[in-house]
Amino acid sequence: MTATFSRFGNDLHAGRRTVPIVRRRRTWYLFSLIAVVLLLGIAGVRGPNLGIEFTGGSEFQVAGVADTEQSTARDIVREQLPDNEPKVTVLGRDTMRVQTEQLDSGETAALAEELASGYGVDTDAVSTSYIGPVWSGDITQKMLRGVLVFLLLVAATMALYFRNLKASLAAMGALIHDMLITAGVYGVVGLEITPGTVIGFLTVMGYSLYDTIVVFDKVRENTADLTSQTRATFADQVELAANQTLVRSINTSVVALLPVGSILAIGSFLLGAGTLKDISLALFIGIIAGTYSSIFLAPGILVDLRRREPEIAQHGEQVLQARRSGGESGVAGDRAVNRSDGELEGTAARGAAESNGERR
Amino acid sequence: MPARRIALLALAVLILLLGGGIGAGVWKGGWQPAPKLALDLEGGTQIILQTTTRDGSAIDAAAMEQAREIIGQRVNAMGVSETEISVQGGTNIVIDVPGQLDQKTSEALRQTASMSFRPVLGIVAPEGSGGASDEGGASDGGAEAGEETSSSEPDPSQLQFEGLLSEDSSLAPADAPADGELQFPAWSMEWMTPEIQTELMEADCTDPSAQQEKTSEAPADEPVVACDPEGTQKFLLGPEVVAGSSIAGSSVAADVNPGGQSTGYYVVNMQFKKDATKSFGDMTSALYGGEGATGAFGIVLDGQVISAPEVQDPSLGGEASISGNFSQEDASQLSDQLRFGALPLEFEVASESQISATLGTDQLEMGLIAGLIGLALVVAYAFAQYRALASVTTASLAIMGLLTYLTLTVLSNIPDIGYRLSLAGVVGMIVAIAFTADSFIVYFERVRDEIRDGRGIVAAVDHGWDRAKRTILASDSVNLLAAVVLYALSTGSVRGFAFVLGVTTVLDLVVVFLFTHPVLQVLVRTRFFGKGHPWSGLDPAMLGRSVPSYAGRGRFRSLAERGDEDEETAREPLAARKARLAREAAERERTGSPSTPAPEARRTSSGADATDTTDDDSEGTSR
Repeated sequence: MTATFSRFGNDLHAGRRTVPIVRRRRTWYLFSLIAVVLLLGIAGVRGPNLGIEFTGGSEFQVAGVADTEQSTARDIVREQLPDNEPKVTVLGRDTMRVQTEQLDSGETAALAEELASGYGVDTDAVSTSYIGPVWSGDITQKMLRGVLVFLLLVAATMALYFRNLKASLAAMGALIHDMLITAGVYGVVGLEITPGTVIGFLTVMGYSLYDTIVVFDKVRENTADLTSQTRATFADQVELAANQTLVRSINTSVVALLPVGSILAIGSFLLGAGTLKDISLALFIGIIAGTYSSIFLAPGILVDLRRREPEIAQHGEQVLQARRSGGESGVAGDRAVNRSDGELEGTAARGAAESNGERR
Repeated sequence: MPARRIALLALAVLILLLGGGIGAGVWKGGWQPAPKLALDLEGGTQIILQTTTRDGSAIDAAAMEQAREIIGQRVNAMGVSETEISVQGGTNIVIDVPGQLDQKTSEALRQTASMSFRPVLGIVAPEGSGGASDEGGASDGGAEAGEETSSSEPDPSQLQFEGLLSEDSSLAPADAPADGELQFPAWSMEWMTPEIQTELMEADCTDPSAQQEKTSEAPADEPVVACDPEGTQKFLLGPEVVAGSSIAGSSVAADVNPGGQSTGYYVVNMQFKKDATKSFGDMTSALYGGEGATGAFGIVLDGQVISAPEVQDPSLGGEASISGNFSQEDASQLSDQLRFGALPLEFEVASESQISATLGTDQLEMGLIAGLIGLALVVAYAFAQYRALASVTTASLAIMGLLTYLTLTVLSNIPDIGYRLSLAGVVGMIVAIAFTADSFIVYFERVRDEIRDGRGIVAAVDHGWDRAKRTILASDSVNLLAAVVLYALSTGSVRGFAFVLGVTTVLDLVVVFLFTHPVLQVLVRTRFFGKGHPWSGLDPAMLGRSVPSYAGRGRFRSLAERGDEDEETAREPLAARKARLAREAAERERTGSPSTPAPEARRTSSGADATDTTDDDSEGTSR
């Protein structure tokens, strides 16, 4: 299998095989647009499932219970606090989670004790947490501020790195796509949003950019001497770059998904909810979205943003002209040469290649 | 010495330094050989307080630092040990306590901290017993100051005072109070009721925090007993004359003597708002004029007397300065405290969680298992994709793990940083496996691209590195940026994650630059990698350099010829070779590399550095 994957990589690199990333970019845009609208639409109707960190409330976790009967907890809470309907869930194999409205310290301690005796465990095995109303508002605000600051800083960094504002904008476009998709999936599936989710979400932003940088680096390399040849247009070179980095993108994503997936598996099956699961779930969704967007969206957006630049548009014309006039004899081969020698950056060298003949 | 050896040596030195440092720390005592665990893994209570001001004005970092100290005093007052208090995310104070926190402490934490100015009615020894005495080292502290409106000794223990009023118990209690007004001036001896004197006698200032809570709850219009933070003095203070919120500002200045020469000490200047100017002026005039029980007033912050200066001059203009042999640090501290007093901070419990030790241990165990599984999967995938080259990945990940462990241990043992590993931090480390492995993939794929383009293996490693380096740097910068932003703006678990993400990102760079690349450079000089053995992961044949009937290239090579890959460069088609020459020339021009070999010398240069020349040569000749 690895051999075929490796050959696939070779073919993509040489241009013998091309995934129509830039050519069919409108299809990919449409695909993403439909996905985002659909996901966010459904998510909007359902409303987000916020954890108590955002809504405020009290939570109890009883670890190591022998019997995960939910009614025990429910009865205890009803008895202690008559007008408080608790949310009881089983986490992992032997942990009970009970969520109630905000309780004060005294009520919390009393309920913790009751729960411990109800489930026949030591009081030490009960974890409690209280989230006040200030916190929920504060954490949301901080999260939004964090995202904004990060986006601005990253946009500036990328613009400096690529020395091109449009490359930075294209990367941001892909990034926003990933965030929307991740948020959408969360909303649709109704997964609980906790600070762990926020961590995962913010890390996804870093990851998505990582992938895009790899692709754009190759684009920059391939288009460095764009105007000194008339074989390939800007779009062709971006297409080639995206294809050449395809294997790399898949590999980095798989490698990123492996550890994240293992936390996710352990976190959900053995521990139930909690920090482990929350962070890794957001990361898992985000990494998949990030890989997709860095391959299929970012290069396309870049081409669309830059193709009207006078220099690039003019060069595109030249290429088309050259193809019409000189390319007749070897139209079939032209394409192949174009692809396989995508790395060639000098027209002179390429001219020599043609005239000297490829065979010796 | 070639760069690769220097790099490897630097890495070894780094590891030895970190390891040696920890070893020495442990041996000398006080250090632990592993990172300390945060509450969610160790069990304990965490309270996050949200700080606000009454009037909604902004809180600056200095004020938060004051707030942190105040909370620290309160917690210590309750006798809770091993507490860690930190300011996070701007306006949150996070209190970490091992074990459980009782209701009383938790309530004490929520009180509003405020400041008030009250005249001193009397000072006695700190002990709870007996009568008033002249302890506290009364000295002529005010003598050297006195050029400004008011100046005096800041340190209550050096306070000059007169009139120990506890002996004047004959003074009659008050008449009927007038409505809305204090029945006597705040500094009047009339406040010395037998009740308050009994209280004064009974109060014990050897443990100043015990009295603190009582003092801070006392109403503003009644006298109060208070201690100084060190527990060396016990004060009887009159009702509040000016509230801390009436302070308009305070600053530190160098003290000068009447001759205009610097004394080497510092003074604290404070300004009052208009509405308080008169009250403060009245009090200082009265105290200066000997109308008060003593000539001093006390500045009370959160139930403790932080300063009790003697009035040297009445302050009528709303400005005052406190002097008294302050070092710059002392003066700054007092000044900060005064500024803090201008905005009484309210604390609200934003979140309170108590985590059982069992749950924490469980989570840590699971987290580590998840990490190991993830690591194993990544290594397996790397071997499938990169064959023997994956051993470099594995070794790099091992080095990465070691460095992370050492670094976090050091950071957790340095008191100023005091890092504690939380569950989110563990997740951060596992995610770091992914990011670290990604750096290798970017690098290896880049090298393979170079081989696919027909470069020799040694040259491909060097050239691929030049390109991959930039990508890795850019990606890691973005990650670091994410970590810093997250760390600066967040609280609690998010912060723990961001910290680890930042540390591992930096370490990723260290490992890639000081280990992965140098090791690969060394390895390609071996026969196995350098000749592109099919299992080396660098086999040119597998990378499509000899696949038969290659469109547009015109070179036909059968699979049987795969073994002759080392001749690849020699057999390179003229066209491709010319193209590469042109490209390399262009590149040299761009990078300004000094070596510009003639085209014929291509095989001995390959755009690599001089030390590679011989290797390239041997590579060019057939096996």
